[in-house]
Amino acid sequence: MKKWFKSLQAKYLFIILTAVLAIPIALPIMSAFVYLPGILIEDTDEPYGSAGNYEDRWHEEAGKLSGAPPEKIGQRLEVLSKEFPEAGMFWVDEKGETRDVMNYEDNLPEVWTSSYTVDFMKDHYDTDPLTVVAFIGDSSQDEGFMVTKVDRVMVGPPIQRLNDWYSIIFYVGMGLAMLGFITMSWLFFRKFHKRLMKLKHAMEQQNDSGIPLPVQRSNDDEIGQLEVSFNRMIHQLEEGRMREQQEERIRRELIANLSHDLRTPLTTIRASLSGITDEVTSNEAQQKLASVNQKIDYLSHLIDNLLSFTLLSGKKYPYKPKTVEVNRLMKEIAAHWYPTLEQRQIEVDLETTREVYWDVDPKWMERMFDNLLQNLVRYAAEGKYARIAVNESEIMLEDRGPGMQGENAGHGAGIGLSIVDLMAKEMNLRLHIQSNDQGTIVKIAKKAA
Amino acid sequence: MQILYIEDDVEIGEWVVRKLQEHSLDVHWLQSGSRFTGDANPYDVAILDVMLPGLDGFSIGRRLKRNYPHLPVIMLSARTAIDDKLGGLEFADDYITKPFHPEELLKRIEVQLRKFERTNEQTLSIGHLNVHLDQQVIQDETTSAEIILTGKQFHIFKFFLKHLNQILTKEQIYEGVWGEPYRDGDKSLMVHIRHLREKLEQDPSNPKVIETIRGIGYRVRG
Repeated sequence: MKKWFKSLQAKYLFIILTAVLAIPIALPIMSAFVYLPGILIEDTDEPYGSAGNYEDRWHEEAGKLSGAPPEKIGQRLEVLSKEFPEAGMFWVDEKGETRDVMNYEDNLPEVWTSSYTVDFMKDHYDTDPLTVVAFIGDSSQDEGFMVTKVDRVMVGPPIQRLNDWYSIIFYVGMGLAMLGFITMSWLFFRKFHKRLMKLKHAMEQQNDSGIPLPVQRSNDDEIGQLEVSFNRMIHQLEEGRMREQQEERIRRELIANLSHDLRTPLTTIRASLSGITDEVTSNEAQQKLASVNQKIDYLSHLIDNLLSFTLLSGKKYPYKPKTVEVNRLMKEIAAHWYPTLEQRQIEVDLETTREVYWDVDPKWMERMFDNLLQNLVRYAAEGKYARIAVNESEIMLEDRGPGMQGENAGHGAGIGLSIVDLMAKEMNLRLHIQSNDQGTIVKIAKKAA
Repeated sequence: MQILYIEDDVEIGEWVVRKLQEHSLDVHWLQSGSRFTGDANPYDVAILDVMLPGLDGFSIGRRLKRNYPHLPVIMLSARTAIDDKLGGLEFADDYITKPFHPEELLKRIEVQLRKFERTNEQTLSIGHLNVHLDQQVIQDETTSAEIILTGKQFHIFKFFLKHLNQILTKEQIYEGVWGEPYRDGDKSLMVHIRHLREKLEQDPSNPKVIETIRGIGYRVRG
């Protein structure tokens, strides 16, 4: 339960709940906030005061004018009209004649009949504008009456005067409250989004082995749990990689040992053959012995290629690139191979160019050409021709052998070429082999930078 | 010529000893490193297997090279990984992998003996020339006349003799003789070789002593 409260679900539900509950609560609260101050604050500075105040004032003024001559009444009304400029006023004397109409827009009769007076009173009772009728002096003396009319806006509480404004304020207030909720849920989601993006970023961030780095657990909620699972997964990946590396190492050691353990008996076989060769006299037998001797070399190369391939594909083949002058390197490789090629009457043609520098490991280049020339000697010796040509961007090895039957190398040549291919790729060189029954052209080109 | 040979495999050991003796080389064969006293003074070359019971060939080789820097050490091993080769060549002068051809082993021993000037050949016969190494005299066999070389010419010729039967690029010769890096387009070596040929060859336009290997370099064959 405690955990549940920390979850994102709980937080989200809380926000929704607040929003839903807050709408009915917010309405009265908003109303209270907007209207109450207007109602509670009786502004005494207002000239009219409330409707009651104004009515009282009018009756009081009427009372004071008891027994006053009509001119005085007119003067008083003039003064009052100045005090209350928005109010209309007039008075009716004891004969029912309308007098001193001020700021009063309705049509009024010259003389008030009893029935008109009754109708007027009926029509103007409790209406807007507020109409106040007061008998001058004591009603029993029949000195006439005075009437005033004023918009209720002027005499109501201030709220009534600001009626339109209040509704705007109310809606703006409600809008702000809504905006508040939206902002809150947006902030909530944004935080959520931010953490998800952080996690995504962490997943893309990889260490040397291509496994993401573990993340710091940020919270106890669902994302926090996701981070824990993520870390667990990384841990498993790392374990898997360790296991794989260990297996890879064991395999490598096994092949290295196998390579060694196979070579020793091969040497012993050669030693034994050597002993027999001295005793055997028949030509045919000698030839067979020579063939077995060649097979020993062949096997030895295969074993070596197997070991090299294993090391290369496991990235354990030492790689020490440096800037190498290609012509010079190829000359030295050609010099090294010349006696072998010469022995098989293979004509060697070396074409060099002006200085060309490549960033490669010379040992790797040697190894690549060892394999290529090995194949040439083994499969293309009958062409009696080997041409090595260096130019700015590529090294070419051409023979006039029977070809490799398409792009794929023949059996045995395969692993040797795979090593050449792997090494070329690793040194950012491109290997291109073109072969037909007229010969084979191997090109090792520098990739455009 | 005394050769120190350490190899634990009996069949291989016996075979190598027989082959070397056939070429009139004296071999002292030990089946383990621990039997080696550490005194290498009597030997001209050491041939060491790597995987040996007790002390391994690398340790023996390193110790030998430290105590006897002028003793050529050849590793003869079934370990072919480039790491092993590079590790071996850090101290050893050559690294031969099994299964090897005995002829190759002999050639490489010869190369090392020549490189360390431990050969007891007093006279080399190259084509029509007889070269008396001890007196540094070159003689034309057909006329018995002595051929006098200038200092540089003699240096170059000696460099060829040190690398007898090997193909040398002009860069290698230049750097071996002059002791400084070869600059592309430098013609002085070609000039020296032309003069050298004029003195050594019977027909300088068709050289037999200093062969031209087209496009690659030069070779003097013994």
